[in-house]
Amino acid sequence: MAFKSAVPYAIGFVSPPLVVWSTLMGGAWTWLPVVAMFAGVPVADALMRPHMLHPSAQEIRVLEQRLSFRAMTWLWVPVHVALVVWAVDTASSRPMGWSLAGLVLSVAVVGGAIGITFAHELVHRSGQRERVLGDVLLALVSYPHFAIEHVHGHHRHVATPRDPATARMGEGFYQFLPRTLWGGVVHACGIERERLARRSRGVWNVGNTMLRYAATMALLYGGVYGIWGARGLAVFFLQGVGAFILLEAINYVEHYGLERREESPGTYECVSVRHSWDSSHRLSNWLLINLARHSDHHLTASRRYPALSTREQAPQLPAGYGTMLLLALVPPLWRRVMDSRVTAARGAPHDAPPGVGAV
Amino acid sequence: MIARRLVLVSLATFGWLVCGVTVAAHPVPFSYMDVRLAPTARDITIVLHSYDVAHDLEVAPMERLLNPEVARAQMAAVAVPVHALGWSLFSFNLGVEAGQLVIVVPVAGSVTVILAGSYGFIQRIVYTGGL
Repeated sequence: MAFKSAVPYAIGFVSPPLVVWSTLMGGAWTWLPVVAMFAGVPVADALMRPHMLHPSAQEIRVLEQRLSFRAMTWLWVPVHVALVVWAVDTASSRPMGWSLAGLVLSVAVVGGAIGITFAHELVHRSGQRERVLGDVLLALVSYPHFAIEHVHGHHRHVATPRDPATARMGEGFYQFLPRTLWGGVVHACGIERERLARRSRGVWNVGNTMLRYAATMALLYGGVYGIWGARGLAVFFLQGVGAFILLEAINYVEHYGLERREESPGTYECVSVRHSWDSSHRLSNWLLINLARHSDHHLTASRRYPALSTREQAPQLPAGYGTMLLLALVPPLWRRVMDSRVTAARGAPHDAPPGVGAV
Repeated sequence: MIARRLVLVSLATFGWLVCGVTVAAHPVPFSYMDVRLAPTARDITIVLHSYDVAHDLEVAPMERLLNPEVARAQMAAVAVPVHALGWSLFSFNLGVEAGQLVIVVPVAGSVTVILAGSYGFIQRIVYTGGL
């Protein structure tokens, strides 16, 4: 497993220069990154063979230690910061007309699909430095509370009614979106309040991470407004909104309709591979650094992305993430494709060994 | 690893000094394809060691491959069929180009984005009186 095995996961690094190049070309070209993500990726996923990974215990140790995989997540941070700075500067310094919408949406797609995925990888790490890098990426898309809610909320309550980021069967994306956006913030505040209470501290405390995030965002917004004015601030805000909506669309796809059995009031069965939709589509996994191997991620949340395995026992998505995200935007079509699969997945035998899914 | 190599080199040098004969290791102990990229052409050399080929073709002992009749009988397994030559050349060249792009675009592109972002930021702060 040499350096070359890390190279495919660098494909996401093509997207920031693509945004810059397409914006410099101007006109309809500014939409190219969006088209590439939602037309090119689904077609490539359909044409390429599935990417199955079953690393042995020893290979997992090697993969987790390999610097090239880790360095890629660190190097993304300056690239994404520079992309957002460049986009805000460009948008606020020259008239762009309709191209502006293309630029904002392109930066949002890069931020939502790739930036937040890298952030997700970083906030799962135990080291302080990597978590800070994840926080930086999340601040860029105005979604810093994701670091708390995802790790301490979503992973604990996934596939239960307590989790705002798990879509229920029959729930359309447009119903799910406001529920998860608002629920995520409320949930993160609650988690932080409980953490502080365990340390006998009140909410109004400098140790409150949510307050620190709020202060960071206020400073960031103030800085952007001071440097680039109202137009720059609007671009910064809108690319973030686009990015976190895309993130929530990914959340919608990842757990739609899957439920953990309630064993006694308020107590649910352990998380198993049956509680996330898995996908082995090659380009989706390369672009999203194996996020589509989501069942394994929920079983072993601390495992780094290159070591995530294919889980054949998990419910499988019929297409890659690009296609599924488009389907999610058309709820009747989504339900037609997915509801029968959800029913089948719910009826699947409980084949995970006991305790495997304990979080 | 370095220490092991140093020991081996020292032993080889010692043997050469003591025995007074040339000690030579095989320069490239495996089959390989050498691709040299020139502005207008690609010079491709394929070197197959009979040991490798004999192993893959399950021909033993390997010296049998030096027999023209045995080699001719095995040609179908070694050579690219004529009808697949065009497609093979095309996909090979496509692979070379894609391989270069996979390295060049992310690295050079990321550096360009970082420079563009830094330039915009500095330009705005220093020269146009931001903040």
